[in-house]
Amino acid sequence: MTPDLTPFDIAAASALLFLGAGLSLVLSLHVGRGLLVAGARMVVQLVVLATLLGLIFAAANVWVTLGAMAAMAVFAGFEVLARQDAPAGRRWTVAVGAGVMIGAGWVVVLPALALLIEARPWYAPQVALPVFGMVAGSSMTGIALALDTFSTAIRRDVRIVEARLLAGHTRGEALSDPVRQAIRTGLMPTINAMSAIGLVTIPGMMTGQILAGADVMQAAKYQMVLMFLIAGTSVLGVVGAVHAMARRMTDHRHRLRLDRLRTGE
Amino acid sequence: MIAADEVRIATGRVVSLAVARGEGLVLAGASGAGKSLLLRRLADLDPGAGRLTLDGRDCAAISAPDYRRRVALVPAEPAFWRPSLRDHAPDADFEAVGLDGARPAAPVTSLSSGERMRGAIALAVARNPQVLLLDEPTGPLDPRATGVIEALLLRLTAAGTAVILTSHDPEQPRRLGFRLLSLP
Repeated sequence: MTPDLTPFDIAAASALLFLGAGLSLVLSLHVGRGLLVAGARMVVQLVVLATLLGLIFAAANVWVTLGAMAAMAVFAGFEVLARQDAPAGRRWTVAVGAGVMIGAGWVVVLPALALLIEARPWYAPQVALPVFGMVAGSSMTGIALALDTFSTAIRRDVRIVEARLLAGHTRGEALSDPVRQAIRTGLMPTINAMSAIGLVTIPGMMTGQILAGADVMQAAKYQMVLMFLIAGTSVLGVVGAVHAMARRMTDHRHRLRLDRLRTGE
Repeated sequence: MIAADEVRIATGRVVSLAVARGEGLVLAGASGAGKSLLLRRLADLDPGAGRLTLDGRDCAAISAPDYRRRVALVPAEPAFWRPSLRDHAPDADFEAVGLDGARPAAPVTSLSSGERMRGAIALAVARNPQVLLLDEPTGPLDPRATGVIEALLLRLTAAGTAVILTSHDPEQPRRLGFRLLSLP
């Protein structure tokens, strides 16, 4: 079981941050202010998160849990937007990022909560929100990477895409190479995470369970389930988002519409 | 055969034209006049106001891939998505554009700009379009290759294909016997 941490314990740990800031001053690294501000943000954000989670856990209501998941997906949508060099419209990118995460996340996570993890009730926020958060966070990285790769590829290969359209190919055929490239790139973080897991670090959920006193093998099994959920959500989310963007970047007359990209914003 | 009724191109210019079956038209005008944009609009590659018709049918009534198979555009800088010209269309007549020997099977990255243009023309002709649009087809070609392409265009119009091309060569409309339309 994890012991209760007192404010003194946290203050003692934060001394390491001040040590880092001091070193920055001595070595003229100019990162001391950044370290302290990031540390302060981390404390405030975690306190706010814990307070909100406390309220949601106390409510233990299915709609509150689903609403919290949707809110997490919307924040992830903004994060996807922030990682685009040339988004296909700001609102559109946030909507698609959040939409595919809600869609793919719910399709994968909700049945897993009910049937595999056997949370009681299935929407128990103590289980549902951390699992959804880990799944959405990992999928978000893949979706952001995939959309950015797609917009880069169609701008770079615009003449090839248009040559295929001029040869009478449909927009799906003309964009097949950029779509494939974007999906492959978007799934690389998930593939790499599964390949390297356990070699360098003990993964997050497993670490949490071990610290909470769970059996190590049981913790490993939960980690496996989580990674399969992440992989499933990433595949559905990346494929859905890239195909949505392929539709967005063309019109009903099978024309490439680069004018819909927002560059330099 | 193909008609553009007050089509607006990206420069803001509004153009109307009609080219009949077997007719040839040369679009002339200074750089920036909108010749290439007009060809893109005729190929329905850019959106814009105005009406395009093919054989009297509104182009919107024809599926876009089908329309572009019937109205083929060869851009000024052709691009390819397969390793060689031959890989795009094994049955294309590359000799008709003066590409013989191993050139059609060579990697497209090893071709000169003139060979790429001639290859793109051969690939467009292989699709047997009703209307052939060409953006500066002889711009990157030497006089001999220009003659080969002009002879091909004359054979196509004689066979009933409507041909519209852009050109900066003031003698080309006369050599081809094509109508001239100057964009101011």
